[in-house]
Amino acid sequence: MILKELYNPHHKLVKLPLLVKSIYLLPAFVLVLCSSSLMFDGLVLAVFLVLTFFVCKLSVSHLFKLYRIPLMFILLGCLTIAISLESTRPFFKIYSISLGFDMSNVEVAKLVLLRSLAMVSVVFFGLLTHTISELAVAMRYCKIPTLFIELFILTYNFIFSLSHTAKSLHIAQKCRLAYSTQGNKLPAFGLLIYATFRKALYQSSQVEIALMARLGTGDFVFVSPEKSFAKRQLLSPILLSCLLLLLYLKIKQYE
Amino acid sequence: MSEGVIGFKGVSYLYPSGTLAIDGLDLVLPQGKKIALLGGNGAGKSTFLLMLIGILKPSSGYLNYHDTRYCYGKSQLRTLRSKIGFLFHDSDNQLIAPTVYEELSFGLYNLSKDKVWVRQRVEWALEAFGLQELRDKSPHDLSAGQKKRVCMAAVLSMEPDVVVCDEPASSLDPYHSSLIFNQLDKLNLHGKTIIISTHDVNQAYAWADYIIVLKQGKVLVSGSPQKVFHQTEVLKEADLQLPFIVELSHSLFPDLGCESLPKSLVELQTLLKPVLCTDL
Ligand SMILES: Nc1ncnc2c1ncn2[C@@H]1O[C@H](COP(=O)(O)OP(=O)(O)OP(=O)(O)O)[C@@H](O)[C@H]1O
Ligand SMILES: [Mg+2]
Repeated sequence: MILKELYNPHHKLVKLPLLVKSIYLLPAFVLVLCSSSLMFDGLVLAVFLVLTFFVCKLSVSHLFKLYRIPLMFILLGCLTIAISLESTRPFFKIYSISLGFDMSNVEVAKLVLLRSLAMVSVVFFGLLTHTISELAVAMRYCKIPTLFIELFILTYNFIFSLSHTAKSLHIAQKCRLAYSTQGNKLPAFGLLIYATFRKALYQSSQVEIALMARLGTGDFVFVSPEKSFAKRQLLSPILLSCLLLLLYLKIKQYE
Repeated sequence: MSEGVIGFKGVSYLYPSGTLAIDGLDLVLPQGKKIALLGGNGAGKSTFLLMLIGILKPSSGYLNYHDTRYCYGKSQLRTLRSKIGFLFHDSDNQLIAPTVYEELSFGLYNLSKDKVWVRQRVEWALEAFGLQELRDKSPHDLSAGQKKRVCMAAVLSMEPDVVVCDEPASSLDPYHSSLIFNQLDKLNLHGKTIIISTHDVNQAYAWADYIIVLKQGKVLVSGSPQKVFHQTEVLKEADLQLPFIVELSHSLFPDLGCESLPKSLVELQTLLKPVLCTDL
């Protein structure tokens, strides 16, 4: 949902066709997947943070908000890797359990942390520069079955309508003094959940009717404006990809 | 019968919850007219309109489109819906694409796989409904009136033979309301039949050629605006008020026949001129 709110329809790549945009993303993605160097991953992370910042015109606080959740999960995961129960240099010891960092594990954790963050930054950049229908087109290119694409779009719409409904129902409840005392909090919350699902279900049945009225057959094909690009617009993504590749090879050489 | 576009033959509709929303209608909607469906809340207008595009199937009786009986098979419904466009009362239910541009393209692409033609139609619709500035925005992030205009553009750009709109002017400002009615008028000039439901008697009186007044699923009266609004008692029964012009003319000229009721401000002025001159 945060992604949906932060998506800026006037980002700098909006006029570029899918193919050109993918030159920004795909090479970087593949390189991060293959890389095993901390430096390279850090570099990609930095590059894509800066790109997200400038291309999508997000403020730093928005960027932070966006990364908050994945960061939390990744940090938690890395901590679990880093901390070992049979550490040679424990900082905590009860009976036979010695809790502490293990140097080899810490190395792995660092690598995992940076690589995941680099990956997340590439994915976020992709999500913030592509609309849902472009993603659907990309999926179609990848020969993903129509059923999944349809499900993907409907789920997206359903989640959106769910959160929208919940928000407005919550406000309506508050206006009628729900949640004002300790006693009525829980019943009001229960009612909210019930009403939200009921309404969202009704709404999705209405959406289906509306789709039928416009001759919808189940596959969601939208036509987007014709996108043309000058050759020089290919320059920056290709340059970026070449640079990343070069760095990747160089770093690999030194290691 | 042949000049009618859609006919109702003894049609009733009972909601599964037990409300009889439409009660034994026998009616012919005249071809190429601007038709307004009037009635108070819960009169059955939306139900009536949903039956026109075959979303609700009558519990008894049947409908005709150009003398062919409605069939509710998949392909027949598709043919029917390519001829009858429908604008929902609640725009949120109609919006599904991530941008306004793609929203407009959805129905058009289902109609024809020719992308060049689709893009041309979309550009036309963006221009005609004043949506150029919103083209890249997400339809979910628009105001109620803007959403309505997007839905309207999406339906009208498909150029159906019959346009059915459930309260097209609700939540629109006066400027955009007249913009939409102008578009409806243009379509009508090309011979399309327009059917709207509304509570706005002034709008209905000034705009429509043919008026149907519903109450509890039954037609109380139908016919030309002058004929319908001449019947003050019936309108009261349907919880409707008189249009301002009619009320004024009635109070000034109590014995005015229904044929000579003025339909617009200009006609009212011509009616008033002799009176004003003798006063001077
Ligand atoms: N989904 C439904 N299930 C059961 N009853 C319904 C449903 N929708 C409408 N009704 C009932 O059918 C009757 C006609 O409703 P309808 O929506 O057609 O009225 P309307 O003329 O469009 O009213 P409004 O001007 O308020 O939009 C009402 O009594 C209503 O309570
Ligand atoms: Mg209604």
